[in-house]
Amino acid sequence: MMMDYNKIKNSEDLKNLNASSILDEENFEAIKYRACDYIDSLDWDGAVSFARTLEEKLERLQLDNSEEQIGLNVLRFWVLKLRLFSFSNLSVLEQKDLLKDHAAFIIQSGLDLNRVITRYFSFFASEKIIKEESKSLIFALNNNKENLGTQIDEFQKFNFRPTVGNWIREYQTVFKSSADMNMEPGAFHIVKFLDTNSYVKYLTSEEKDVLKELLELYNWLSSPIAYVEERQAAKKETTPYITQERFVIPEESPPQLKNYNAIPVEDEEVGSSAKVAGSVGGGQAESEGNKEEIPVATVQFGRSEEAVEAVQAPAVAPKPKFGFNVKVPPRTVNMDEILAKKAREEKEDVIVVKVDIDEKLAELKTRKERNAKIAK
Amino acid sequence: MVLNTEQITEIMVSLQSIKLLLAYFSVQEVDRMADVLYSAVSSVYENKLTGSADYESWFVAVKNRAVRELADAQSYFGFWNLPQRFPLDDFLQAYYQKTYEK
Repeated sequence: MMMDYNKIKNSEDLKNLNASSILDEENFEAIKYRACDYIDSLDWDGAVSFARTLEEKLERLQLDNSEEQIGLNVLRFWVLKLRLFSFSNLSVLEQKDLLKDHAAFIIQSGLDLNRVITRYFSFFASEKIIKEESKSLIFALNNNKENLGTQIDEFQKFNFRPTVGNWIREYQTVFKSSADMNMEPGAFHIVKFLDTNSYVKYLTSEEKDVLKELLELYNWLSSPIAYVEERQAAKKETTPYITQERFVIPEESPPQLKNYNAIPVEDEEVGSSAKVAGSVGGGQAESEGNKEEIPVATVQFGRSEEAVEAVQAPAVAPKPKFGFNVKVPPRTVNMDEILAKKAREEKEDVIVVKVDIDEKLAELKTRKERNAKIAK
Repeated sequence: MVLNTEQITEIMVSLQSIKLLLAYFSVQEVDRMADVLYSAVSSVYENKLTGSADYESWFVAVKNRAVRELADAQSYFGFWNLPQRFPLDDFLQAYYQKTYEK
């Protein structure tokens, strides 16, 4: 018999389906087919609507046997998969409910909750909003009542309910201890917690894995900026944040004039010849080639207290590769001199011309008379 | 000899250990999984590692490749640790039997 995967085309078709027939093979496959189609075609709104309708249907489902329980789990998995896919399109309440009611189930199912939330956070440009969002998600995790631990009897002896929220509270005691109080929770705390906590030994290895994932999620929700920035930096490797760079003169011989007198000099002389005459201090730079320290001139434009940007440049050329050194005049910058020169030039540009009109007219008059006399 | 994707799907569906995982997959994803496994097996075959290889060396070569292919494809399936979840050993054993031990 050929299966009709297109039997359910949208949420309306799903609404019209009888809840008891939802686990029939054809309906079951058609629901998965449509859900997958929403994800493949990047239909976020369709996915949200379909997930809501499917969840409503599943709530009304009456189970008869264990096989149906598996079918129900599969369809619950698809509800969560659709919700995680369209996480940013969910209402705030739905987003919180996802962590409050299903965080452990999502991780047990193998869905990547961390990736979804990281992607969601990377939409926000403001650090403040990311922190607020992460706080509300941590709050939801703290209130998670899902059980994580099947050996209930053992936990009851200690009057401990193994809910996700309680596990997180137990975990918080590790990094809130006096020694680690100022540290952000990290991988070290998780290892320490799993090794030392007295309840953890009653978890199966699978449950431990889920707990570890949950704690990792908690850790990065506690410091989401670092994670988001790390992710964004990995994405944009071509756009560095550097705003100030140190200039290093390449190790090549300086251009030589035909009549240039090459004067061999000692290394020490080259080094010592660098004296900065700039308005502010200098520093030390390391040449990659010979690893010798080269004094660096730091020049600030304007008064030092008003300086906005400092540009660093090496004061002397590094040692050339060939046998002897060519003495290069040290590059000195005297800002006072430069400013004074500029002011002089500006002053010279203004030519003041004073003309006395009466005198000019009188001169013109005498010139005319003289010309007239000559003409006679 | 390399099986096609339909034959690979048949093997997957016939195995009890994979059947439960496949219940979580939609039909599109089952096809995709068959493509992933086909890619892993055929790439090893193209490298002539399978020509006269015994099961052990064939298994190692194909499994290494398949683990990588599954890891690359896991975001498509939504599973973050698909190479661990997929019972690859069972599948490869069944594949080898069907292909070389007729």
